[in-house]
Amino acid sequence: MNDQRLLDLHFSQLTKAWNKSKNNKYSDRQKKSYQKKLEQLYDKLAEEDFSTLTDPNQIAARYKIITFFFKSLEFLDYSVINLIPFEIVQCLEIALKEWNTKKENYIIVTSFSNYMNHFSFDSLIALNDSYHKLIEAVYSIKFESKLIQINLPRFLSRDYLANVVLYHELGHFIDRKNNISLNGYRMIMDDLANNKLDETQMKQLVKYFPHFLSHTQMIIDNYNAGKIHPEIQYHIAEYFSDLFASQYIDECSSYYLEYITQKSPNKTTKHPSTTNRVEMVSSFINSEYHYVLKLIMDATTAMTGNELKVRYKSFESEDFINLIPVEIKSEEELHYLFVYGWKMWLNEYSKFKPHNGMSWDLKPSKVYEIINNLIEKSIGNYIVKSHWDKVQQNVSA
Amino acid sequence: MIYSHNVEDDKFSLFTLFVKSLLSGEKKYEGIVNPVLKDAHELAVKEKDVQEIDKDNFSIIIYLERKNPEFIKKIQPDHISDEEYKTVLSLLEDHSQASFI
Repeated sequence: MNDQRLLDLHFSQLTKAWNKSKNNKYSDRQKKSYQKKLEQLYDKLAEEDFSTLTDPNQIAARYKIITFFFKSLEFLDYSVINLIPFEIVQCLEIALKEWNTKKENYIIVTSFSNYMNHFSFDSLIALNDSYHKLIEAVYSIKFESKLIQINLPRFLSRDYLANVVLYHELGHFIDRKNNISLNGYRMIMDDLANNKLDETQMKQLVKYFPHFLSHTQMIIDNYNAGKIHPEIQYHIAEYFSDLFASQYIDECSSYYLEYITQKSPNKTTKHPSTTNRVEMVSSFINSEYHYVLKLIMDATTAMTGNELKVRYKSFESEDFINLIPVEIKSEEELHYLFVYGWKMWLNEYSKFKPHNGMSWDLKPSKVYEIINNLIEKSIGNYIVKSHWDKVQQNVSA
Repeated sequence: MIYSHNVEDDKFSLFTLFVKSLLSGEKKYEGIVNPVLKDAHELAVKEKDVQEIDKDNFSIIIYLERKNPEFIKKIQPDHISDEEYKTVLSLLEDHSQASFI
């Protein structure tokens, strides 16, 4: 009896939330279509009399479905037309396209956190197709798209310097979608079990995964008993996501990471030490391939058919110094725009004032505003132009 | 925090729900459960390698294949009995992750 009443409570909570969200306005067709599916799902739930459900599995199924519904709203509510950080999401969508080789329908949505360093990928819906299968089995509703849910700090939604780390968060999706870190784990276990590592490789393994300093046999024994150590998998995933990001934004996320962790030399359960992470990215960018880096690159190719490589195209420009947006010519240059922005902030900072004859005191907060506005404008111009080019191509075809 | 879990816990709990629902007579879940068991079986008998198995259920497939390879090798993916589903359920309920503590 209690179970049915608690399910009623859960659905009542959803009803209140849905009443606020059902009129959300989105800028694109895919989100509108997703919202329509939620509407159908809500109607199906509302039609049901939960008091007639006697099988605990049926109640568990409804609990899961309502959880899915809430999870969708959690992000869709912040992805409406006037809130979504449109420009950075567009850049992430372009990067995603290169890795979405099966052309599955994904929608990148964002939610805001009050916590200043809270950039994260929420994998609950994007990586668990079982929710969609459950909804189809229970209510015959098929969701055509899946949400890739990324959290970012509310204060930084238009900060294009800090938001380079969102490429890292997209990397987490690519990793988990393709099981790259889990496959990397298997590859390490295989190498250890077959004594494939020489002394140098073993030292590199211990450097990047200090867990192998004294627990190697226990890790292998547990693996053979069907148990993995999540901490090692988390660390592989972090290294992969850093490498994934650096394909597009070079070492820029390391600049931010080093500051917010204050160059921490210590690992945590979920993250390797910043020192190791920064070194891993530097090795990749400088083509200094060592055992662990090659292992992650091989695991990536094996699971995705795609290789980790530099995917941005650099350019030289004085445009930002002249206070005008850069004319971006390709998707590769679009990613490099973030590197260019960081170069401006780190190295060209002092040029703004003399170059533009500014007689007043130019404060860092003003330069911050100028660079962010110019990055946003440059992205916006490129997106409008590429859409326009596509329309023209379709007209002339 | 009153309660938290990660996506892997969630995948296992949903798949467990599918197997339980199947055992309570809801045959519509066969179409979701059997392909996962088929992948685990084919991985165990080396008809497939890790790159070929379902990516969404990868961790469940790898777990079942490693947890009881002899049982997984023996099942016939097109004719799975209730007894075998019950064994799968017990394997799933025994799922836990290792720790360094």
